[in-house]
Amino acid sequence: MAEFQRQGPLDGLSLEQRAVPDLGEAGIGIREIRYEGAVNLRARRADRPARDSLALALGMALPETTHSARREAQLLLGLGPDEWLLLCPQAEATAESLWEQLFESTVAVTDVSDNYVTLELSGPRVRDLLAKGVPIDLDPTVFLPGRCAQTLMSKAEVLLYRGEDEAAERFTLHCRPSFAQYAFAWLEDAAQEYGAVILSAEVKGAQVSSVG
Amino acid sequence: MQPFRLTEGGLIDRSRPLHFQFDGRRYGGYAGDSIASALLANGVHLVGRSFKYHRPRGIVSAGVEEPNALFQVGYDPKTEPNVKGTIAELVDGMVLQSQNAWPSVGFDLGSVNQCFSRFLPSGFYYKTFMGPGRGTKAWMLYERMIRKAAGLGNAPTRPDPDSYDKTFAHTDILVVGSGPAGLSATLAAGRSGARVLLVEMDNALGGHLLSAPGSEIDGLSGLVWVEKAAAELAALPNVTVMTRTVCFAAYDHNFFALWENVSDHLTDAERAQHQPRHRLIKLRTGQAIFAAGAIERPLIFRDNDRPGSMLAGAAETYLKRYAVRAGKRAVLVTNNDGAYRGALALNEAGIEIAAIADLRETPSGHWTAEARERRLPILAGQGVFATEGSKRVEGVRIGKIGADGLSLAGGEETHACDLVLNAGGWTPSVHLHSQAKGKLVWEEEGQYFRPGVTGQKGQGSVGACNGTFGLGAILAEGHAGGAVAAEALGRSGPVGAAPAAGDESFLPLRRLWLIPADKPLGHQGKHFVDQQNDVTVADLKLALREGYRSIEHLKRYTTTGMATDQGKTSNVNALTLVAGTLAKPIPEVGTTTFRPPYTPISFGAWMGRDVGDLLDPLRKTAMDPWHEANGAEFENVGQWRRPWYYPQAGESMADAVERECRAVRGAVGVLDASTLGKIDIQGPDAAEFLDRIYTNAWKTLAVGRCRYGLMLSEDGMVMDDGVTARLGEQHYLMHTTSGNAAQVLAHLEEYLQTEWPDLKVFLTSVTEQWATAQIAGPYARDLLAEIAPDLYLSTEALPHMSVTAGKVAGRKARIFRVSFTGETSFEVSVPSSYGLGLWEALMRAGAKYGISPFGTEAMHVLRAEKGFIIVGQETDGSVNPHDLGMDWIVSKTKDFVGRRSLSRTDMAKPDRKQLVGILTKDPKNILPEGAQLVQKDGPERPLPMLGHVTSSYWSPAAERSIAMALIKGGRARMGERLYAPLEGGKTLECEVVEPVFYDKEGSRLRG
Amino acid sequence: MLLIPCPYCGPRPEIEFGYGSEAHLARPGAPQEMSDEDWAAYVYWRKNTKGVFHERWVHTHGCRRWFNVIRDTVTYEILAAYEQGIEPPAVEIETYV
Repeated sequence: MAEFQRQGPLDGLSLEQRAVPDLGEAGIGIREIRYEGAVNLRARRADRPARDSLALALGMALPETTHSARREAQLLLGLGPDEWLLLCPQAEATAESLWEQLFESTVAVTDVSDNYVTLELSGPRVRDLLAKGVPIDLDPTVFLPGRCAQTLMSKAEVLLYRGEDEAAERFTLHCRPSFAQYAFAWLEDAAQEYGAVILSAEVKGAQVSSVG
Repeated sequence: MQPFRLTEGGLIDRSRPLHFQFDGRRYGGYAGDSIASALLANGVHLVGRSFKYHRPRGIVSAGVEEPNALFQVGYDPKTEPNVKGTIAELVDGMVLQSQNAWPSVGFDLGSVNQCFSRFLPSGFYYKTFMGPGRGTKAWMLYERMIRKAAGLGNAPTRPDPDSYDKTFAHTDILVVGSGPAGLSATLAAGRSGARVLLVEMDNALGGHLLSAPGSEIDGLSGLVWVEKAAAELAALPNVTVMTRTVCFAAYDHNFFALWENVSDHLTDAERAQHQPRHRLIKLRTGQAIFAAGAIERPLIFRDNDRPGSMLAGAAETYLKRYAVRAGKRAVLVTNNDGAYRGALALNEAGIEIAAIADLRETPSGHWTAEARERRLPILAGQGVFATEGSKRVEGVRIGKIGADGLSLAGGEETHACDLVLNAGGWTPSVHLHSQAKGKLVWEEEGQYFRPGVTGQKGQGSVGACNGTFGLGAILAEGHAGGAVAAEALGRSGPVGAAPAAGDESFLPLRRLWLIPADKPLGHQGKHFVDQQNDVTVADLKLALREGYRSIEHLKRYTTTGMATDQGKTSNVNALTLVAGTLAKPIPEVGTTTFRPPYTPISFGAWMGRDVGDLLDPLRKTAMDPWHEANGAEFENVGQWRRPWYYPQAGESMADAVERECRAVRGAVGVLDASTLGKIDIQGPDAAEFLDRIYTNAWKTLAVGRCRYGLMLSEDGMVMDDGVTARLGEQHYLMHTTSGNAAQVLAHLEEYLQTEWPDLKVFLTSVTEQWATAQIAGPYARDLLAEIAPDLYLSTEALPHMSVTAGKVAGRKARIFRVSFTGETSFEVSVPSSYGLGLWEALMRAGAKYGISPFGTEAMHVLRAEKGFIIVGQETDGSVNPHDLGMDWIVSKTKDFVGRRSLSRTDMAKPDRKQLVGILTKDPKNILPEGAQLVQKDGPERPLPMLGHVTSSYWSPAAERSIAMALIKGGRARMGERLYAPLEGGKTLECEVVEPVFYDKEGSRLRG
Repeated sequence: MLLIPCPYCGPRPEIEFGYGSEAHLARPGAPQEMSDEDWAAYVYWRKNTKGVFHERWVHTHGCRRWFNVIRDTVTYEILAAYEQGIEPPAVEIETYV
């Protein structure tokens, strides 16, 4: 059987042909992050042992809601009082390994790598752009580096994360694949007055399935 | 040549002359002009005809309160009606049209309405066109004619070519208005270090100081002080200043709506590419300071609407800001001291002041004294009681006012003039305070409402909008307001000292607004209260005689205070008249409710970029590119777009659906089932949780098996259904209907979190993690085996209602053996980025089996042939499991959500509507879905309705039409004849049958 | 638009939330033993308080957690927000006629 290519919902837009190497004079840069792994993790608030085991297995303290923690290439976002999202390479293997380490704990581990499409937004007008659709306060003194928020961008639910590099003012935006075309079209339209460019995609996961 | 323009002065840019057209004539103006100031500079006062009587109307004000100077701007589709000429900036090349005039503003046929005006009293429309025997249809017909005769401008007929924008914004302190109060507040707040947003609806900062540049602040002339303040604010990184931005609405928790005019003041050539026309700003702030100023109140006299009659402050604005003389010879009529300032300014600019008719018996005050010094002709205790002229004031009649203020006391004289300056005091703009549910207090001395207790925390009013009128007091109050707001936010930076200035207000004032004439009200002319709606004093009095008492009723009956100016110059006068007539104190009469918007806002700004494809997200599956490339017709299911059917060349929808159905029954079909909701359920109490949520039992379900479940709301009605699989000891996957996925997850979370927090269960939405292809038909197994050679797919290894994991097309997958079509069927799920690859692999491998993709329509037909329900089609929130004949799935031994409601006696009544099958007598007739069914055919009406058709199709398997219906007592009616009367008079005879039309034993799906 | 203090995510605009009506109503433990009237009261009847009201909200477009809010239904002021399953904090009760 021939191998087949993974496909993202933005593939039909030929973004790579439009990509430029850097931001230049543009107010906004939009970059697709392809195939980053994501594992949803749950442990009950009151279940101290489960939380401890989870933190131990991850090698990170569990961040509070809207905060994050990082260990090498792994980024852990606090989605709720009992819910985290681990962004990592090799999500399938990571999820399996966590399952094995945590089989005695009351936790849930779910590979949700294909549940998200990720865009990285940068540029001097990035907060103005996001403010057009995101109702929360994105002021740099309020939405601090390393913070995340599950919120709305216009009519799509998004998970927004502000990169740790304070000066860079870089945001990543995760949304459901079925909303990706809407979200992308919305961003491009809203960014027009600032001048927007497409930056070359960053590929974080395997592009091709294992050959059957 | 602008004959009324001064040769120097004003804030216009004489180096940038502009040209514009008004009613086909070309005129000149300057950058910095408003439409109104440019027209006045050219001596044009007559700018429109009135709403009801088509009376000639002129420019009354220089601001947002303008009732008359409304223009149609531009050409269709880039046209806009009701543009307020007093605030709209003049743009080079602008094309303006007067409104309400045909054929022209100078000669208007509609003005014959004036002759019939005694037939157009308050409530005229209600009395004449509505009421018994006239009905809604008649009103709609009349309304069209009335609108044509009366309306306010024309809407564009084609889509708006401009783009609009919306944005959220956040700040610590919002300051509304940049007059002396607002600037002073912003300086104090800004110095504290807090984030401050100052919004000004005008194109320049300064507010009232733009009209009175001579005022002195901190030893500087007013405008120099404004420039200095602006420079200081510009240097503060924590302060944002926005001009051309109006704060038009106050909502809860210090949420405000702002409207930014981004580019109306620019020509098309000047606009940047992709610059929106307007922007709606949805702002949340910690503290709000209202510094919205005040609006001058007019006096009412006979024919006070004649062009050339203008608010005194407006004439001062035109003179000082725009260097325009509003006339050559003016008469001022006033009840207060403040208006003398304008008269002095006009006099200084060479406008002859023919008379100052001061209603006060003994005129006094700062400005009055100065006018006396300059020997202006003051007529104490006298008033203008009428104007003379036709399309422009040619003179006024002045008389001595009796001590009671209700009659003339002789001494009537006529004074020739072309300008009447009208001054009745000032009304604080309390709109935002009041919209935010703040209380109002009646101020006896100045005769106005001012803000009392605020409706919400962190709000305050400063300056004229707070009833503070002396410049020094305004500045001090603004400064204190800014400091208090900063302190409330814990900002302790030094706020500096308050600016200082003199303290003259417009008082003292005589409490008289309706100037008595030599004839009774309504004789020889009209006394207008509301010029925009043509409401007169006589109209208000008539409404009171007819028994109207509530100010809200009077507003709606007489239309006072409605339309684009919302009564900014008329409300307080109307209120005073009502209170006077009813002999009630004004606070007892109260005000009408202040509602957003403060001033009209474009529809475009409300929509922003939520238009066209961005109106609503259109959700697409991973396989969608294939569907599109292969000519699928789509239907929207919630926000999802799903393939409806796949027509081949020359096929009708019916042809395509029939072919797709036959492929599934006879060979193999494949359906994109990715939109089905999928909820991952993990935890030791997962089975217990499912037991409580579903009507049937779950603890007995073995690992690797699937079960169909029915979910009820607590009221016992069917909410959702679907197949749930047990993937592991403590691991389940629930499927929901496509449209209900979010609602079901919310329902589960609600019970889990709020009722059963002790259950150890975790729910995760994985709807979009997986893309799902449903393979159905006699060759389904053969096809799947080709792309999943490692899987055991025999009925023994993978029986109906079971699940397995394995590799499909080389990718980790889940395979569910379930069937919604009645054929052997597998639902194959792969991570969604592999969905398209899976689909293409299936289509390639399926060619030799005669594979056909099938859409939602064929799926609906196939399931209906089997009698399977669709939630939302066979159910509507009032249907319980018994009604559907699904008692078999309702446990009698355990509790579940909805169980107690299901055992209410009403839920088991035999005459409830029950699901049945329906066959038309003529098998070729297909009932329309929604058709009502009745007991008898016949002419008598009404026929009691028994129920309605929920699903109806042509069935290729049964080779006839089939239908399902919810019928009263339906299950007891098997074999009965019913009738479906259709639109157009045709009636179809039908028979009630069991709702299964194909393979009743179910041998095919198990095979 | 209300600004609702989610106990987990902090203050967020109302558009992110869903409303859940009256709080502190426990689902009865043995529904089958209840009269139709008592059951109907649980399913359908809710207080319509003028003034201080304990109500449920869910952060639908955020952390998806349910929590309780004490809100004055006259001024819309939110006096407290607290997690499910705990006693409501004491607040000053404004009474209206």
